[in-house]
Amino acid sequence: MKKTFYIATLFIATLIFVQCSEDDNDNIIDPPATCTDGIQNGDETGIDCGGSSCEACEDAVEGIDFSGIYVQEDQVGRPAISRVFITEGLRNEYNTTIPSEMTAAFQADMQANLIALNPDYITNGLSQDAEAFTTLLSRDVLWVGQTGVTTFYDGTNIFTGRRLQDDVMDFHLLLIFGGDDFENPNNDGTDGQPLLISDGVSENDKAFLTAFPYLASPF
Amino acid sequence: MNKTKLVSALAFTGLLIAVPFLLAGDHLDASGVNGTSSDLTSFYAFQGANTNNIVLVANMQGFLPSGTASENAVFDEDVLVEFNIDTTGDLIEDLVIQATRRGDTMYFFGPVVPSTTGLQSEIATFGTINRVVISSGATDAEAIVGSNNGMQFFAGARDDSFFFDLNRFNQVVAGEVSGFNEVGEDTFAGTNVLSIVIELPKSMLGTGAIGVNPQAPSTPIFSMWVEAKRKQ
Repeated sequence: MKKTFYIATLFIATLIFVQCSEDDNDNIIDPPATCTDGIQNGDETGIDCGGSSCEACEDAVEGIDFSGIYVQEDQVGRPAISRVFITEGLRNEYNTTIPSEMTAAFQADMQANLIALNPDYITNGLSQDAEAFTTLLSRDVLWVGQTGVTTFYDGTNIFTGRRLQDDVMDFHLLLIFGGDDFENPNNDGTDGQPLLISDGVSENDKAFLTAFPYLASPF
Repeated sequence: MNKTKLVSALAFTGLLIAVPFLLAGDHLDASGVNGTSSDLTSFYAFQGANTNNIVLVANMQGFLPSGTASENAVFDEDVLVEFNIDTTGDLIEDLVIQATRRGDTMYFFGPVVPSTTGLQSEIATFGTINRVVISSGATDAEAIVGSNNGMQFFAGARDDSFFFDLNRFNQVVAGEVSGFNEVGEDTFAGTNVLSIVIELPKSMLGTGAIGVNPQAPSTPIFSMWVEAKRKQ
């Protein structure tokens, strides 16, 4: 009985000791500048946290309110779908419909708008008729390859991602106006036809970066 | 008011007047979100410079004027930007990465299995939490990048990466002109957006689903989309 009491006392004392040593870490009054520079450096175990100098990582969100319910107002999967294919009065509803329910709710509207854009549409270069094409688009998610090239369209690969430099609007226009042959498209501005398969803007106005964060610096 | 300030004030006023006439890809796409702090403009997802990684980009609050982005637009603390990742091909998110601002910092949660799917979310404070100080500088050297566990994070103003002759497109749709010009004008040139960029190992997202993309049936595919959600 006595022995048990000693062990229990020792155990509690150990707990208190451990607790105190953790408190010591939290009592640093002036953490070094590396604890607020937004990058993980020194012996930090996270960004500006952990290690010997900064506050413990598990404390990083303490005291900050992340509670509450967040309700959807906007969404985007593939580029420009709502702007090009959804009737204006339906766009708010579209932006608050989950992808698995989009086809039932919007495919017919998208097909009507496709035909309004191009009354001569029969099939595109992916051999899709108007219903098949707009059914694909109405599942408005961006497909991203886990392996291989990730591009919206690079002349070879189709719908395996979206790179910054991809001319996504030209590919949309090609699918809408180009007919069934990518190699010899309709509406290419020759033979008296209007130019509808390209907007004449093929790249961004500012060069992208080759490394993170990839986007060009602001103006 | 000195002359420089007067000129920039006039220029900014002019831009504010012009903005309602500009309609974009997903920029200002619907009346419910036009010009608000939850208006998403573009979503990108691509393999990183390190081919083991995937990069996710969400842009929002488009047509920010040059030089004044950080003054005129900030990430809204009441808005949650949520990257949704369906790994099985059923159009239901299996993983999310959430981002929301508190003070001068963008906090990132996940990738994590969300407590609920669909139109309403809670912030997944039970998952991996990362953060980066929001960049306010205008040069690449001033971009603040956070990194942790093989993930990298950025939040701040950037050049709008979307390019399109939107004005001409609107004219084509309105029947005012028959087609595009061979050399178009990028309606988005010289304008900024607020960007959130995340790079993470593909292995954090799993393997993807085969047979999702008819154009690449044997490629394992993640189906991804971004949502902007507002605190109620």
